[in-house]
Formats: sequence, C-alpha cells, structure tokens
Amino acid sequence: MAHAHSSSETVFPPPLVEGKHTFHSVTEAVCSIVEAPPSKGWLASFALALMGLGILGISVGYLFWEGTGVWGLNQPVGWGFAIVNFVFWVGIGHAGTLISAILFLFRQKWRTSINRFAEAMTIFAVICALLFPTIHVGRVWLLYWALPIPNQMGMWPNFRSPLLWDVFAVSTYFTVSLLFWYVGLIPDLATLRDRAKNKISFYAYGMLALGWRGANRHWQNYEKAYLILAGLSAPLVLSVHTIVSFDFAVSVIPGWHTTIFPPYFVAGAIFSGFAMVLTLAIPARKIFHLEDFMTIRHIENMNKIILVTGMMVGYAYAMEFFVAWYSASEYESFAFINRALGPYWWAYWIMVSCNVITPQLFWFKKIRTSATMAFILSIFVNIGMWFERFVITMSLHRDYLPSSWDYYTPTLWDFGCLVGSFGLFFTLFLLFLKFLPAIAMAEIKGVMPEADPHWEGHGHAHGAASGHDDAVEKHHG
Amino acid sequence: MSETKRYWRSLDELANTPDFQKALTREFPEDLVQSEPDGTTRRHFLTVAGASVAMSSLAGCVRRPEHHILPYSKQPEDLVPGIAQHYATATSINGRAVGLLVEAHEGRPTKIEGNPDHPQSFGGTSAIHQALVLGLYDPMRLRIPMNAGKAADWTTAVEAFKKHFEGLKANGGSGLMVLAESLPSPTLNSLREKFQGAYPQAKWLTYESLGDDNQRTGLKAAYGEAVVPVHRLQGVKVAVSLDCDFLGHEGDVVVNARHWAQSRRLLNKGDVPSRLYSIEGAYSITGTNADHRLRLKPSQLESFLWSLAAELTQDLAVVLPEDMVPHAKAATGVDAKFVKAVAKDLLAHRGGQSAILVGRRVGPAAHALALALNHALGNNGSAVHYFVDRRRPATEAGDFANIKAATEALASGQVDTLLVLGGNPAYTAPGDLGFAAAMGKVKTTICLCDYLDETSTKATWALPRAHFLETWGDVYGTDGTVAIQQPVIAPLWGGKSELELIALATGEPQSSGHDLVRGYWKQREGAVGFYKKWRGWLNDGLRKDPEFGVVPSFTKPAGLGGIIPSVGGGEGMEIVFTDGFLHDGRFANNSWLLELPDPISKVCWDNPLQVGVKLAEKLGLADEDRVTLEVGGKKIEAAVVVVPGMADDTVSIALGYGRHFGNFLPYHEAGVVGFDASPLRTAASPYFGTGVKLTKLGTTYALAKTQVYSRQDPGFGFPARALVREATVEEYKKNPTFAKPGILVHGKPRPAALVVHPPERPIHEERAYEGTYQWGMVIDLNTCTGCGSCMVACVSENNISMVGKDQVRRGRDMYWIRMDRYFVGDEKRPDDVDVVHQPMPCQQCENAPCENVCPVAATSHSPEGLNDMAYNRCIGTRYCSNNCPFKVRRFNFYNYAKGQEETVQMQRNPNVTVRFRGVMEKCTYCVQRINIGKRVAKLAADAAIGNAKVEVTKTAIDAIVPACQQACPAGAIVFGNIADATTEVSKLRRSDREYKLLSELNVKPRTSYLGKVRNTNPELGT
Repeated sequence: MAHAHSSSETVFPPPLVEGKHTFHSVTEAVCSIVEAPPSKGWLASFALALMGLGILGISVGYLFWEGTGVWGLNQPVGWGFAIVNFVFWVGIGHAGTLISAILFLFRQKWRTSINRFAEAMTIFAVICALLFPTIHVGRVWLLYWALPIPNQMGMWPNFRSPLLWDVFAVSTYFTVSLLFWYVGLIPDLATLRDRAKNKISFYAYGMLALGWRGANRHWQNYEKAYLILAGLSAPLVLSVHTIVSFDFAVSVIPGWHTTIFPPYFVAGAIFSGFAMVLTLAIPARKIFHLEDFMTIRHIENMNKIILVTGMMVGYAYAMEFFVAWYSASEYESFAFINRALGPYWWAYWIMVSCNVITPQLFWFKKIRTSATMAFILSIFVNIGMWFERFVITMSLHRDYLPSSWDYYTPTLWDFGCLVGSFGLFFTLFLLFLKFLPAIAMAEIKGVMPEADPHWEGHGHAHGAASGHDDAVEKHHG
Repeated sequence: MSETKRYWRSLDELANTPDFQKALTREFPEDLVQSEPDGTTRRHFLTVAGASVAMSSLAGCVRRPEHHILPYSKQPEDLVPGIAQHYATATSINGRAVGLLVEAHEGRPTKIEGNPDHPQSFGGTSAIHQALVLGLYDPMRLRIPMNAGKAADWTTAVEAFKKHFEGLKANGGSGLMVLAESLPSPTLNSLREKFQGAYPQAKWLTYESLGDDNQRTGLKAAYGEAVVPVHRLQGVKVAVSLDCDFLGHEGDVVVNARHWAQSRRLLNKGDVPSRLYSIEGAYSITGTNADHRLRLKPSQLESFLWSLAAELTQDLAVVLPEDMVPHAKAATGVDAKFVKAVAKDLLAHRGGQSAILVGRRVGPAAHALALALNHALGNNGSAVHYFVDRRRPATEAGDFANIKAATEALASGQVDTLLVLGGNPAYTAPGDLGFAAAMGKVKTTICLCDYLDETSTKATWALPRAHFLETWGDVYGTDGTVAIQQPVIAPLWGGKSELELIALATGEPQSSGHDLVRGYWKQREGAVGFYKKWRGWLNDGLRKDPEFGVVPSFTKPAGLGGIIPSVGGGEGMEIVFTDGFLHDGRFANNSWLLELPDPISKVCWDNPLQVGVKLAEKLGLADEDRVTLEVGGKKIEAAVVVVPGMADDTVSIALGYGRHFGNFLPYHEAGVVGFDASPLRTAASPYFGTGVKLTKLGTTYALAKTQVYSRQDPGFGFPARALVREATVEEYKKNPTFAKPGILVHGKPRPAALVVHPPERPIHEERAYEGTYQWGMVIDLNTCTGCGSCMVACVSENNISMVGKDQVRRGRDMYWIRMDRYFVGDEKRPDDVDVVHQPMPCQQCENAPCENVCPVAATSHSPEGLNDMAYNRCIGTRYCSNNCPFKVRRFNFYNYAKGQEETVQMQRNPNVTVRFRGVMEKCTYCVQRINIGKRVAKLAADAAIGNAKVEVTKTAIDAIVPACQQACPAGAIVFGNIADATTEVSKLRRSDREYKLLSELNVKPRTSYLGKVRNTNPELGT
C-alpha cells in the first residue's frame, strides 16, 4: 500500500507481527492451539465456566418455575439486573463488529490479529444479551408474540414499542455478525481441514469449510463477500445501541427521557467492547503464546480507543447534568442530583470512577503499553460500564410521585443470572479458543511483509524469507 | 308423457340466462368457495386452522386448571346465570349497625355494598364492612362443634347443650353466666328476656373490648339515662374532636364521614368548608383531616376540655351545671392560645352549627362535660342528638365493669357454666384481670365462636357461629332504625347464630333464625298485613320504625353525678391503645384488612409501636427497632415505627394483633402477626397507660410499608411537587383557581420550574375521543378522609390478590387504587405536621405512556377513553409499568391468585378475570360495571317508547359507579360520562378547584382532582 512504499523511515508503522515468523510458523502457532490436547489451564478454566453455566441453568430454571418474583424487582423498579445485563452484553458485543467492519473499511491493518477474537466475543456477548430479554418477561412461553408471525389472533406486535425495535435490531445484528464471522473463518477452517489428523475433525472442519480450495475465484468471492458484510455491519454498530438506548429514551421517565442517549450509548458500547476484548485477549495471548501476533502495539491502540471513548462517555455524563439543569425541568434535575447523591450514590460513583477517572491513566505511555495495566484497567471499565447501565435503569426508583418511590435490592437469583451469563459467555469462548482458530491466519498473513510482493525492497527484515508470496498459498501454511 | 312437457330446476334455467349456463359448467360455485363474509376462503381457513394447531401445541405447555361447570338441575326462580342478585341485609360491629346490600353470583355472596336507604350507611361502608365478605369464606373458620378439643357433630352438640341447660333450669340458672358481644338485636333482646325468665339466677353480661364505659358512665350521669350520641355533622361549621376518631374507627363512622364530607364539599361559589379541630395523642384518621390539630398527652386530654369550658363560660350565656364549674375554674396546663381560639370559634357558631365530640378513650367526666357544653352552645338536637342506647339494657354496667365482674365471678368459682356468645375474651380482656386463668375454674364453658381461638380452645364446647351472611337476624341502628339481617347463603358449615343458640337454651319451639326473627316481628306488629310489611322490610333492608328517632326526655344536663374528673397529667411517657382495621382482633384472619396499610404509618401486616420523631431521636430509636414496652409492671416486646404527629412523650400501639393462630395466605410466613398489647391494658384504664418504659433491644423486626417516602418535596432542596394542591379559605377566595397549574401551592407561588418547562408533545396525532360515552373521574381531596374503604372495595370487586408481608416489603402490593399519604410541614418541627391523603387509581391518560411501549399491544385505548388491559395478551415485560408516571400498574410477580382455598375462590367476582403470574394489571374504572350498565341502559331503552328512550338511557348510564365510588362513605369519588355535560362528573370537572396531575407531561389524565381547601383559623395561623 501507499505508505508501505514511502521512503521516509518515520512513516513506517511498527511491524504488525513480531518475532521471526513465516507463513508456516503462523499457521503452526495458531493451529497448534486447536490441534494439541487441551491444556490444564484450559481445562481448569472450562470447568469454572461450566460451573457458571450451571449456575445460569439453575437460576433460569428456578426463575421459570417460580416467576420473576424471585428477582428483587418491585413497584416502581420493573426492570433490574436482567435489563442491565442485556444492555451490558449488547454493549460488549459492539467491539467485535467495530473491529471487524469499521476498522476493516478504514483499512486499519492492525485489526487482523484481534478481529477473530473480537468477533467471537461479539457473537457470544450477543447470545448472552439475547438471553436476558427472553427470560425477563413474565410469561416466557408467550414470548413469540413479540415476533411478527402471522397468527390466528390476527394480531401484529406493536410496532411503536422500542422493545420490538430491539427484537429487530439485536436479531439483525446477531445474524449479520454471525455471517461475517463465519465467512471470515472459512479459509482458516479449510486450513484446519487440510491439517486434520482424524476423521471427525476432517469431516467437521471439512463441512464447515464449504469446500474451500483456495482458488483464485474463491478468494475473489471471499473478499467481495467480506467487504459487503463489512459494509452491512458498519451501520449496525451504530444502529443497535441507538435502538437499545431508545428503550430508555422513548419513555417519559426522568433520567431515561434524554436525546443524548443514542450517541452516548454507542460510545459507551465501543468503550466497554474494547475493554472486554482486552480482558479476554491479554490472558489468552499469554497462555497461548500469541504475543507475536497481539503485540503491545495492538494493546496500545485499543487503550487509545478506550481513552477516547471513555472521555466521550465522561462528556455525556457531564452533559446529562448540564441539560438537566438547563432544561429547567424539576424532575430531570432531581433525577440527576438523586443519581449522584441519592440512595444509589455508590453505584453512580463506581461508574464515574471506573469509566472516567481510571482510564485517564492511559495518558501515560508506560501504562498504555503495559499489558498488565491494560488488563487491570480493562476490568475497571467492564465494572464501570455494567454500573452505568445499572445507574440508568435505576432511574425508575424515584420518578414522579414520591409516594411510589422504593429501593431495588437484587436477590441471590439476580446475581445467579449475572454470574451465570458470564459462565455462558466463557463456556462458549473457551470452546471457541479450543476448536476454532483464535487468530485469523489468512488475514494476518496478508499483513505480513511476505504478503507484499515488494517487501524485499524495504530493507526491513520483518521476518525470515519464506518464498511463499502467493496469496493462494496462504492456507497451505 | 308428452315430449313437450319440460322439467326445470329453477326459473333461471327456464329463462336459460347466460349466467345460468356458466353456472352449470362450473364445478365449485364461487359463493361456496367464498364462504365467509370477510373473504376468508376454505383453503385460507384450513391454513389458519393448521397454524393454530401448531401454535396451540406450543401454547399447550401452559398449565390450565381443570374445572367442572355443572348446570342447575332445578333452576332457582329469579336467578339468571351470569346476572348478579342483590339482597339487603345488615350487620353490626361493636354494637354499631350498618345496612348493607350484598351482591351474589349464583348464590355466592361476592361483594358488600352499603344500603343507600339505611341511615347509618347512605350507600357507603367502611373498609371493614367491605372485607366482611372474605370472613365468610375464611377457611380457618370453625366448621364443626368441638367437644374438649375433639370433633363432634351438631346432633350430639345440640343434645348435650339441651341436656345441660335443662339441668340448669332446675336451680334457676344459678352458676350460669352469659358473656355476650354487643348485639343490638330486637329479637335477641326479647329472647334475652325469655332467657332471664327461664334462668332467673343467671348473669348476662355484655362485653366488647373496645367498649365505651367512659361515654356510658359520663352520659348517664349528665343525661340521667343510658344514651348514645348521634352526630349530624352536615350542617356544622365547627367541630371539635377530643380524641374521637369519628371518621375512622369510632362510632357510626360511615354516616359521620358522609355528613362531615357534606359540610366540607364546596359546590357553589362562596361555600366555606367546615372547620375541624382535633385534640389527640396519636394520629387518627380524624386527626389527619383536621384543620387544626393539638397534640396532647392522653392524661391532658380532659384538661383541655375543662380549659375550654372555662374559656367558654366567660361568655355568660354558656352555663354549666354547678358541680362542673369549680373543675372548669381549676383547669390549667394546656395551650391557652389554642383553647381561646377554639372557644371563640364555638361561641361564634352557637345554635347547632358546632359540635364537640369526645372519644371513648377519654374519661367519663369529659363526656358529661361535652354534653353540657353542647347543650349550652345549643347544639343538642341539631348537630348532636342523644338516643336511647339499645345495645344493652339500661341496668347493665359498661363493658370493662362487666368483664371485671365476670372475671371475679369466674375466679371465685361462682360460675359453673359459662356461655360465651361471640367474642374472644381470653384474648381481648385487659391483661390485669387474668381472664384466661379464671376461665379455667369453670366446669363447663360453651363458646359460640368463629374460630378455634384463645377462648374456644379452652372451652368444653366450641360451637361454630354462623356468619351474618348465613343467618337471619335484626339490628338496631344507633338512631333506632331496625334493619333485617337477611342471609344470602346457607351456612357453609352449618353454624348457628346467637339467636338460635339462645332459643335452644330457653327451649323455644322455633329453632330456625328465620322463624325466630319473623315470629318476633309478627307478634310485635300483629298478623294483619304483616306479610306485606315483612316483604317490604326485606326489600328495603330497613324497617321504618315508629321507634325511629326516639329521644329520651331531656331538659338540662344533670352534672357530673359524682364522677371525679381526671385532670392534670403527669410527667413521663404515656401510651395510647388504639384500634385499626383488625378492630379488637376479630378480623385478625382477614387478609384484606391485614394488608390494608395503616392510613398514617402505611405499615401493614403489623401493629408497630408508633413513636414520634422527637421521642425517637431522644431514645435513639428508628423504624424496625425492637423494644420492650413496659407499662404498669407488664412487659411486651414490639417493633418501632417512627411517625410524625405524636404528642410529646407519647407512644401508641394498635390492639387486635398478636393473635396466635394461623393464616391462610400462601405468601405469608405462618405465625404471629404483630404484637399483642392486651396484657398492658387494665380494666381501670383500658385505653391509656402512664409510666411507660421503653428499652431498646438492639435487634430489629421487619416491617412492611406500602409507601416508603412520605413527603411531596423530593429532597436535595427541590420544591415540593404539586401533587396534593391545597389552599386556605382566604387563599381560595382570593384565587379560586389555585389548583390550576402555575398559580399557587399551599399559598405560595408555584415554583417557576414547574411552569416553565413546556408540555411534552406526542409524536403521533392525538386521538379525538368523540364517542357518546367518555368516562372520567373526579376525586375531591377536600372530602376524602383517607379511610381506605375504596381500596378494600376495589380488592373485593376486582379479585385483587393479597400478597403477604414479605411481598409488600419487597414493594409488590397489588392495590389498584392506593392511598398516597404525605406529611406536610416544617422539617424543623417534625411532629407538627399535617397529613394529606390522595387516592391514586389509574389516571386513564388519554395519551397513555404505557400503551406505546408494550411490544405486544396488550394495553391500548378504548374508544370510550379507557386505558384497557388485555391480560390474555400480556407477556409481562413490565415496560408499561416503568413508563407509567403514576406507577399505578401492578405486576403478578408470582402466581398470587394460585393456591387459594376453594372457599376463598368463591368470593371472586365472575365478571373479572383472575390474573395469572407474569401478567400486568391495573385499575379499569371497573369496566365490568360499565359494560353491565351499558347493557342495562340498552335494555331499558329498548323497553321504553319515544322520547323516554333518551331519558332511561341517561338514568341507567349515570347509575354506573365503580366500586371505589360506591364504597366511599364521603362521596369523594365521582365517576361518569364526561361527554355529557349534565353529569355530576362533568360539573365537577368544571369546578375551579379541578386539576390534573402531571399535566406538564401532556398525558391528559381522565382522573382529575379537586384541590384541598383548609379552613384554618387565622388566629392560629396555618
């Protein structure tokens, strides 16, 4: 590309893959994770995740048996942890598509080593997110009424309801994300197929690889499909959380009824999504020795995005207060003062500390480029963003008539569902790590110097020459 | 046959039209394929049918209860299945009768309403009356006679009973004692005379644990006869209540509330509401409605009246009986400014425009003095009447004197046979008497009781008493009217009434209640024309009695008759024993009354010790703290609730709680509900206690409140929200539209912020609502007393589930109409607060925010302006409730309606769906009643001719009342068609005090409120 041909030394970005890697060594590094027997670390993590999944099963089973009363919900707080978790997981699901689609469209090559990861995270986060609106309804067995299915009652769902928009927005997002992820996986699945040592994996990967042979036409179609899906996904990044924010913004409740919500939610979603990618990637890169692919540069880039979006979120928090005051609406002003100083003051200040204050540490290069610090701070952001949704949802506890004010205290079952959703997420994620290539081999090869026909002319030895510069050969590794 | 002879199928064939030719060739005529008028084809039908089978297999996972509906094998006359029947009947609680109308569905009584013709009801009822129907179906009721703890049958019981009483006859009934609840029944009175004739040595004592010995003694002294005061407050300008909860729990509350509301209602320009002064120790419902309230320790209450007398007698026209004068002169020690102002006010409203009411807790001298003062002010005969007390013979002593005498007789072994006729003296008797222990000395105790309670478990025989809806009877109203108590259902478990049992004891030939009552009246009225009279009484629920309004002869008050006034008031902490919705504990198993929150503290399912804010600060007490409460050497444990408005150094606790038998509500943890305060009472001082000691235990006790936040100002320095809008009379005169947005709140300019914010505008076009019927409601905050009657009526009408203490604590009570209570006042003087009540049903917003957010359109608007809720469609996202600015929607977090006993299910209104778990519900303006009303209107119009059609339709439509309005004793709720400008609701909506809540949200509620106008005395300030 253009910058690659520039003669100026300073324009060259640092390498995207470190260490002495050839195409083959990349393939080896990524596929060995899948092909080797599960490590002890993986088994231990998986056991833990399964335990979480068990907690989810029990919590949801009990919830279905008894009713939503097992949660701490009351009058006036009709939405609690379930909706908080929903928005939290949808938010996390944003980073995947952002990294895959938007960064792809902007030709941000550094994305290649983390996009698979992030997309998988998106899919699983959206699965967790979809779980909550499903289980939070009072009569879960009638949930299909919210879908526009022709029926004997002659009833459509209510198209004016933001919850219905959610149904469309999130399911569209899920479908497109899944397709995008899967399309991206096909060349790598073919690699795994070709390396398969037993019948089961041969047939399994073989079927999933859809007969990929690495033909030129395959690559052409692949690139086109990938581009189209990226194009389709990009607006979804903005639309999904905008629509999720409508759940709140369309209501009349002070603290919910604000026009700032769509951009604020999208910024928050990217913020939390990137944090979650870091939370997952940093340990994974250590455990699976992928430091060469997920370099400090990647981490630093993501930290920068976290810093930016964190400040956007901080700006939104400040703006909410300003607008509440400026609107001269007594209810609105009260709602925000009450957020900061009322019964849920602790939640508000946890949110501000984790989302606005701690990310400021990323101004320091030392912290920004430290994997450990990035991991710790990403956890803070995860906590902070969960609390952001909690604080917003809890606007319900004090609305118009003081007579109906009350306090929401979560029960064991609320926590069970929260912890359980992490169990579900990690179960899926660990399965992904074990059975699918966690790094997009084909794509990462495309950004290695070897992929550039003129790479030898730069005088930058990014890696040992391998002679395989034919893109068709990528998958043979 | 001739060849020319032609056979044809139709005229068409004969004419041989082209259409017919075409039709002949077609196999499937079009009109057969196109079978449905809406264009549904057979194929389409089959498609849909197939889909519905698929869907129903999905929906088949839902558990549906299996029920059998059986037809009548013999159809009862006048009963049309599906159409409710109404019967007039009556009941009495603590000797106070109220005429009732009972709604029955296929023989099941489901709803109690007041009898509009009965002068103690005028159509309204109290919360307790509304809940009586649940008592009928209480599965804990005693079902079979018990002999020494073992089940027996009625035949054996009756034989044993007869035999036992025959044995007693021989010695004239010596050693026989009857301890009866107060039952003002003409038939029972006559049976009692017969009983006394048969057992001359027997003692018959009437006992009610919320007795009015003080009133009885005081009035007997002053009046010369046993009389009972009856108030007619509709014309008063000034009323002074000395610890008399005449709007809440004392006396004829229903009619009092109606009359008082009449004196407060501002219908015409220039109307001024009456002024109410309340002097009390603990906040009562009456106190919350006072324009001025003086907090006084119980021991100072009498002093207040003597001081008032002293002040009044400075006017030479007010003359007291001689023996009262020195006491008045000696009176000191209460707020002189307040006394002066009240006295001045009373003097200005002489001659029937004022009334002094004294509560049963205050000493006898105060009652005598009040009579003298009312007489001197010329109120007797207009605002206050004294009627013959028919609750017991004049010769009998008061309640506490009786129970004391009874206990002494039992303890001394003079009694061999104790017949307890209703009541639960082992629980209710003052603790110092030791009634339960004394009862143990009796050989044979026979209890006619509702439950196996504290008394009847110790009895030789416990006989099930029939509910008043199951038996015949008759009751005197306080003013002498007689209502016939007509059963609506046969005894569910074969209980007997007091009448039947006494008839059995005296050996009457007639044994059924019907024969006894009818027999008595036939004998009394004469056989001629009796049938017609009797049918008339049953129809009206009332006997227009010549005794009606009989007033004993009276010229002037006799004086104190030797009663020594109790004045002064010492140091130290004092306690008031109040009564709430459980009365004396007889309703302790009625979940509708247990869950009904206390109007002031908003605590339900418990009777915490009420402690004032200052005292709580002094003692370091907070809500839910456990304490030991020591009065006169007796100790109980209780939990604390801090309530503003208590007199200094005064605490209070309600009686009737702490009963030790189970509960049938599935979501209530079994065990004791509340704290039993009876041990602290004494026969000498059953209502007040001095020298109270409180010790904090350091542990806590969970209390359930239906309202947590009590002020209209949200805090953080924000101005009070304009929810209950009020003004003083002066402010109202200056500015009649004070309640309209943007003008005044509590006399001060409305905070600008509320006005500046422009109303929200809907994103879609607003609906026009142009039909013939547009429903609306107006609630007059000036007359609403906050008694809670509407809440229970709504529960009864709409099959609303009670959820139990734990669920209420979690904020999940299911009331469709709740009673918001706010304290108003200076935060620096936290005990000097006013209370405002605001009934809060669904506001039926025209631009309802709940509707657009429902993803399945389960809630949507009817063309008549109702915000309808389709339970069947609801999937339970709770989004509607979140988006309701009034938070009036209620969610079935659990399957609250499930698991109720079959008998309790019999109470349910068949016209209202019982809601399943996971479904949202809310006030419907009683849509079932609206639809019945419309059907009645249609039938009436069909039967009428010409112009009369319009008139009968209007009459029928205007007669539609929701349950809350029907029950409201004050007539504060008015519902109707707002499209018709002549209806009452339309008139009230045009009132200058009318306002709608949260109008800045542009939700356009159909429920409006009328602002509250306080008639404060300028001399006392606001």
